[in-house]
Amino acid sequence: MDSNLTLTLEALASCGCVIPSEHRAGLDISLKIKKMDAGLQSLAFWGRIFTTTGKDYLLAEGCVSAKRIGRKLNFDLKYYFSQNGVQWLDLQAPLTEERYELCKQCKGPFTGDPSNKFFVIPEPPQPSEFDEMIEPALIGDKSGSSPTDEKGTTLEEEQPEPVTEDESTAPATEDEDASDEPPGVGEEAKVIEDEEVVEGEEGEEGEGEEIPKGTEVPELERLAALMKMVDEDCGVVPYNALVMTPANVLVKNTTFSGPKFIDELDSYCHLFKGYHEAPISKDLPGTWSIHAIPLQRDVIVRSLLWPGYFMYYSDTGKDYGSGYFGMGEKNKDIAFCVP
Amino acid sequence: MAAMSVEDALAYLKSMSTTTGDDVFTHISEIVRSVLQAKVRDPVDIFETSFVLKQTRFVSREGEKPIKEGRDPKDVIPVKSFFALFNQEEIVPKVEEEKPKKKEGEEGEEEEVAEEASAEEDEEAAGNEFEAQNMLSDSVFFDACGCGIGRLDTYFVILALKQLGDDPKFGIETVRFFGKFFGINDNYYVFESTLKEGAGEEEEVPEEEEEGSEGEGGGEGEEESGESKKKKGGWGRPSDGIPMEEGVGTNANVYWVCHRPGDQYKKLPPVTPLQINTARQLKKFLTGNLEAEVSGYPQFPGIEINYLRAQIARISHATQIAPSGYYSAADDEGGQTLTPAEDFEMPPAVDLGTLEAWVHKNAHIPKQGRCTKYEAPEEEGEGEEEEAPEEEEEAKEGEEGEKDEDEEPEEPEEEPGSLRTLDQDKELADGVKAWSVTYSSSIKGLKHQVVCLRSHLWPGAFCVATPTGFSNIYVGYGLKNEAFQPTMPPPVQKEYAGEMVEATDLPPKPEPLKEEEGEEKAGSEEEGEEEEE
Repeated sequence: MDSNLTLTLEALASCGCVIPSEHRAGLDISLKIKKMDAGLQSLAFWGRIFTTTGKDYLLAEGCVSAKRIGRKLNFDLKYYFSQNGVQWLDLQAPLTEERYELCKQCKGPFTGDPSNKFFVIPEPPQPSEFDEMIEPALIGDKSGSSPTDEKGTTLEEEQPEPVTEDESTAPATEDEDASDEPPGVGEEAKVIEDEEVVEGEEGEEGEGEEIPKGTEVPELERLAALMKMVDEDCGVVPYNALVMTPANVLVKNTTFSGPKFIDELDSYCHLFKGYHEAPISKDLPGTWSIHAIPLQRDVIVRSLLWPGYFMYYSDTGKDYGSGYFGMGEKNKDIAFCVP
Repeated sequence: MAAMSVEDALAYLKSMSTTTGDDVFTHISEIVRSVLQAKVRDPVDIFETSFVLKQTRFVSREGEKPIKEGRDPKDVIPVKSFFALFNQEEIVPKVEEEKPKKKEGEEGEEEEVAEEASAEEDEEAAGNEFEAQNMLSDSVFFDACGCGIGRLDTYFVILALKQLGDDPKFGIETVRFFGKFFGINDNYYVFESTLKEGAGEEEEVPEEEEEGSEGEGGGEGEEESGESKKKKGGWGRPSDGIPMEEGVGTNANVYWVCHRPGDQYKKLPPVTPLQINTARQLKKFLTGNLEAEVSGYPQFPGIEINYLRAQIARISHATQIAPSGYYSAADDEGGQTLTPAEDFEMPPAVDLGTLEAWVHKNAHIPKQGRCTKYEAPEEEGEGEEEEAPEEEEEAKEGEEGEKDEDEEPEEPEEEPGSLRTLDQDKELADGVKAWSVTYSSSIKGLKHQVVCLRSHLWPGAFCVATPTGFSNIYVGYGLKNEAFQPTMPPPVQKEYAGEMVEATDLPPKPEPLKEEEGEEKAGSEEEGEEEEE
């Protein structure tokens, strides 16, 4: 959401979050122009992705609306990128959940060539060890169910059919059995699609064919997915910095007087995962680093899961902001990295 | 609703809220007053003034926290180091006691004081002359290319460079800012220096003493200091027979570390080959505590201060680069020592925009963990045998991990030395170079562009070309960008393969000799008792 770009960059510069002077010079105005053109409520600088060709991506996120529907916070977000800090182009977020999953499986650094395509061989839907261990904890699921169950629920949040739930939790072999069951319990088409994908992969991996059956993922789609992923896993905002109006719209709290304890993880929340219900202290221990700079009373929160994600909160001005400055890859080795 | 007299109604409206102390009557009159004052066109539209009034009042109440005078005890040290960093005397608020002294002293003493101060300054200035990196100039180029640590932090570093260099007890010849490491609980600012001749040797001995005294000075009791000594020493740590390099290769420079510029600077101990090789097999975040244990497998031979030093060695040997031709290698020991070429002129930015135009300043660290090859004297065979099979395996895996850094580590003779061009570096993946080149501007034809190279193998390592030379910096977590393969523990040892035959014989009859021993023991006990008596 809205935060002061100048203050954010000033505070995060000590973390190595620096934008080249030329891009920085153009950024303030170019973002305003884009905001006008796109008719957005807010457009904020989001981060910088280091690419192998040196043509880095600058990213911005626009918010059309942030409303509460039922018990869930719904954000209508738009993603933009720029390679020179002047012209901002639209990013199309993955349209379906499957595409999003594919983007998550992309590996390797970004090239900086917007026409580049990543070649992804989709992994079997079996939850990896990492997902089992880390994902549920990140989601902060309070239910005491087993890790696999939790994984299932996270995947199926938007697909409430019981059949698919069973599939994702069960190993691939059981999936084949599941397809033999008479369809009609849930949505046939979806189930069958999933099966085909699974079978395809197994064939490739088992036989080791020369031309594996993979899917192309455009770099820009992955870029948008990356923003979504980092938002979901990080997206940190101080507790109470935003408030819900009676009309169920999330707005800036004009009387924000700062969290009570500035150097506690409880004071900072995942905006895109329920906000006040999802303080980052509920994440898996060891995935966050918080450091209060002595005398200055500035707090820097760093994600160790997404090295390069930094958030600052200044107790003097009650201002805050965050940014991602990295290679665009999740630290999957975090279990080995923490002391 | 029952009829209410005007008095009753007023009394009710004036009844104060128990939480805020407000009442409806004053609040409404305040609203009316503010609406009349504002005189906006459609007053009814801003009738939410009510809300605003309440909120502003609320904020003012929040602000009425008791204001403490003086400093938080935990801020005392940072304040002190802050003033010291800016070479300023700290102005202590309570100076009432000192004032009368000054009055008594009058001019004469003041002059003396001034003289003393200037003398001290002179001593300091004369105490150590050193060369420092032109960080102020470099930071402009870092900023232009989007790297570095920002203006404010940079200035702290500039002052820290002076503080380090000025101190005669450090004996620094040249000093530059190596970079900043993020730890989980604190950061490290690392400075790279070369010491004056003899300065290092002299300090070697007192350094150890200092360490010991620091442990004791921590005031955590003797047991604590004993533990810290154990930590620092090799007690219980894995070791191999390869000695560390002295003054060359991985230990050519001396590094200093502090949590914040102005804090106490700590000299990092020299790195051993085994530390480098073990660090290659680990992927750990720094904790921000130099005394912390480095957990993980294989066991790291040291504590975090050693791990940090090992990472610095790996980073500096993999990412410190210079324009081709800037240095010329002396021919001794395979071109280990570099001397700046005399007639070198910075090529234009266009020519520096290729990987061929840049060379590694430092040699690749071979799998031995030393840049200069160490050959064990005489008992080579024995040394190898002594190594446990696990260790050998570890070493092999270390080699594999190392392959990323450079091509062909198998043949030690072809191990890449210093001044090799960057385009020879191994690619991270198909077609993904380990380095990328960026310019300060994407506008073609813009004059005075700045070239910046950055490493993808060690994200956070940058090098910019400045008009007079170049400048390297590292800002990051100290993690290498590679798929981490944890070292597997050694295979479980095989069970005893021989046949287990139960002995049918009775156990041998105890020999009379033992009885004698028993008697002796008893005798000695008796003696002891006698002594006691």
